[in-house]
Amino acid sequence: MEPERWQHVERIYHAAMQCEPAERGFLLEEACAEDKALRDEVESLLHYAERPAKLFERPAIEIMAQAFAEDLRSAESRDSTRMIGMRIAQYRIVGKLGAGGMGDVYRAVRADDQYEKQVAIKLVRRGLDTESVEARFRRERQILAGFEHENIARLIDGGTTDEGHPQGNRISKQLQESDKKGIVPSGAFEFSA
Amino acid sequence: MTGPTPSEITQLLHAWREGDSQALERLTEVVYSELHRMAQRYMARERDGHTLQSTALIGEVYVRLVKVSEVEWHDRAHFFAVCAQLMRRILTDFARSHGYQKRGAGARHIPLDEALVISAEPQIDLVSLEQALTRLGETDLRKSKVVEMRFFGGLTIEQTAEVLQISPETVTRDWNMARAWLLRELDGGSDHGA
Repeated sequence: MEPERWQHVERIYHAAMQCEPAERGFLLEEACAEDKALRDEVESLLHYAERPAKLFERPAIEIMAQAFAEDLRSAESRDSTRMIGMRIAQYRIVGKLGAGGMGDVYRAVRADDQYEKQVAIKLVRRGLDTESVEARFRRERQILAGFEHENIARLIDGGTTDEGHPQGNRISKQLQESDKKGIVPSGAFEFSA
Repeated sequence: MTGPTPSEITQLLHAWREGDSQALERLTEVVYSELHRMAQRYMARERDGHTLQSTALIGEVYVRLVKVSEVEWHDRAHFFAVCAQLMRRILTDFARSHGYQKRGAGARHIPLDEALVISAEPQIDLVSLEQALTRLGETDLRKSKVVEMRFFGGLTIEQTAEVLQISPETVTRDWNMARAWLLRELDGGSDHGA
C-alpha cells in the first residue's frame, strides 16, 4: 500500500475509533465517499480492533516462558507426554488434571483460540469393556443434561464416532477452585482412547 | 555454571551492536537460560495456585540481564531499543527452534477414534507474528518499532515514547492500529496488504 493511502486509512481509522460505534457508519460514509476499497480496509481494521485477543496481553518473553513451561511439565510426566498437544475435534490437550478409575483427565483448550474456555477431557483406557463404558456414558449424559446450576458441569457438546457408536461424548467446564463450592464436575468429554 | 555478570552482558550487547556474531550467540545462551528459569518459576507458581505477574517477571529479566543503573550507554533510550531488538530476534528463534509455530492449512487433525498424536499446534505463533511485523515495517516503520518495544521489549507506553521520541498518545494510537493490522494478518488477511 502506498504511504499516502496508508496515512489516509490511518486518519479515518483513528477518527472512527474515537466516535461511538453507532455513529461510525456515518463517519465512514463521509470520509470514504465512493472509495469502497478504502471503506473495506478501515472497516476490517476496526473489526479486528474490537475483537478480544489474547495475543498482545502479555510480553513475548512471558508467552515463550509459558509455552516452555508446558513442555517441561509434560516432559515430567512421561505417561501424558504423548497426549499433550493432541488435537481432538476442535480442542487441543494442553495439560493433565489427574487420573481416574476409567482413565486420565486432561485440560484442553479450543484449538482455534476463539474462546478462552478450558475444558476437561477424560480419555478412557483401552481395553475397558465397551458395553459398560457406553452404558455409563448414557447414564451420565442424562444426569448432566438435567443440571442447570452454574457450578455444575454442563453438557456443552456431544457426538458419536463415525461408526455411529454412542460414545457419550460431552464436555464439562473446568471449574476454577474458587467457584467450585465443593461440587466436582463428574462428567467430562469421554471417549475411547 | 554461573551466568555472565551485568557488566559482561553490557559488553556483549555493545559487541553485538558492533556486528559481533559470537556476542549474539553468547547473548542467546543467556536469554535461553533466562527463559528456562522463568519457565520453572512459572510452573512453581502455578503449582501453588498463584497467578503470574507479568510486569514483575519482565522487570526481573532486565535486572538480571543488565543492571540499568550501571549501564554505560549513550542513553537509556538507546539501551531499551537495543534490548527490544535483541528480544525480538532471540525469542523468534526460540519459537522456531522449539516448534512453536502453527502448521499450514493442510495439517490434518485426528478423528475421535484414533489415538495418535498428529498435530500439536501452539496457541500463539510468534514466528508468523514476527514475519507479519516485518511486513508492517515495510509500510510503517514507526508502528513496527512500537510493537517491537512494547511486545518484544516489554516496555511501557511512556518508555516507548521516550525511545522513539514521539508522544505517548502517538504510541497508544500506533499500538492500537498495529495490533489490529497484525491480528488481521495472522488471520490470513493477505489480500489486504499494507
